[in-house]
Amino acid sequence: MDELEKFIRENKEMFTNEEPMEGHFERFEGRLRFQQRRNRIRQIYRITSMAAVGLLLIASSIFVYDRYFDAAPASFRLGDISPELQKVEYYFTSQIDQTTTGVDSLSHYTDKITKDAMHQEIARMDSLHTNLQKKMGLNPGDERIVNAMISYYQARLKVMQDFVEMLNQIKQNNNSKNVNHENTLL
Amino acid sequence: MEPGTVNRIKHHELLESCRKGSTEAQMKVYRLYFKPMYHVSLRILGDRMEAEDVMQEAFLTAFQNLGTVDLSSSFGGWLKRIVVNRSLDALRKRKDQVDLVADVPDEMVPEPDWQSEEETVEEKVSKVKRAMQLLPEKYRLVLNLSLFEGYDHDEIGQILGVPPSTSRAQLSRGKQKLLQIMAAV
Repeated sequence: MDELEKFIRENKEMFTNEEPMEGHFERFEGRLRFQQRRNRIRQIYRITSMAAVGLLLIASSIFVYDRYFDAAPASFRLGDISPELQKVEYYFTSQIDQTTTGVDSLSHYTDKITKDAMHQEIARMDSLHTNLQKKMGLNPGDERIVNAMISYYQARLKVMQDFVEMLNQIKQNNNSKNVNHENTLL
Repeated sequence: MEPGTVNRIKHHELLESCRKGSTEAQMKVYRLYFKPMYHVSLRILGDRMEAEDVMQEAFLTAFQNLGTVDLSSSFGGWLKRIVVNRSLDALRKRKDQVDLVADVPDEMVPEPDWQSEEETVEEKVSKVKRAMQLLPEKYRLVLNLSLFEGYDHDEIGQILGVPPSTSRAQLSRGKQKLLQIMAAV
């Protein structure tokens, strides 16, 4: 090793005494928060896009032009077809209700943009549900529509469960932040 | 590279929290590593604002990709590599393309004496720093990666996309050039 190399290696610390400009912690925290918001929105779309692929297929095969569609009753349910389907419907709707309560109780842990994106996706799925009910009212007992409704419930439940998981993660991160903050104050 | 104050397990847990998206944990990791990472970038880019931007961007990239790496291996080494690559990208954007295989005269001149006995270590450090800034980029990069970041020629070759022999030659010529500049300033 030559003299220059030796000198640099022995005094390396003295070559690294400059700090980034004042305010870099705040700037980085701002960038972190921006990235996290963007990640959450992406996560919401990732969650719903998995379901959307299946639901889109359902929609394209079921929703062909129907002149009576707009006048169809919106309240026709799987349970109106048979007691077995009533049980299936009850299982899914109670599970979905439970997860919806979970989403509602946890959503205050996140920011408005994330909440809005989540509600927008839920509204999109609700609208598909209403249309499926209408279609079922026009064609009661049509196996394709019954299967489509079951697929819808499966997809909807999965989406809601994923939302709850995502919100729980956000809650956990917020809690650990508060605990650390309290420890710092103590 | 791993900070001695944080033991391995705690460090692993901290990174796990970062992977799960905890801002608190990510800020902690930033506080632990920002300084060495800032210097890596600053030495390559030579601009404080750009170095901060690139360094922070590298942290964001690392947090985003924590799920794809083995957390038991050196996080610091991995992060440093991201900082180096990002800094080189920024440099290339700024200067079109850094030409590492440019023509360099082969003849070696005798090594000038750069150390005066009256000079303090601080003065010598400052002299080396000044001379590094005056060094042509192709030499400065290899010198930084070798002497300051501790990469070997195979690694430098990979980072800069040149054969290890080129890296070796550039380091040797770079050191010569640096000594000449230091003797002149």
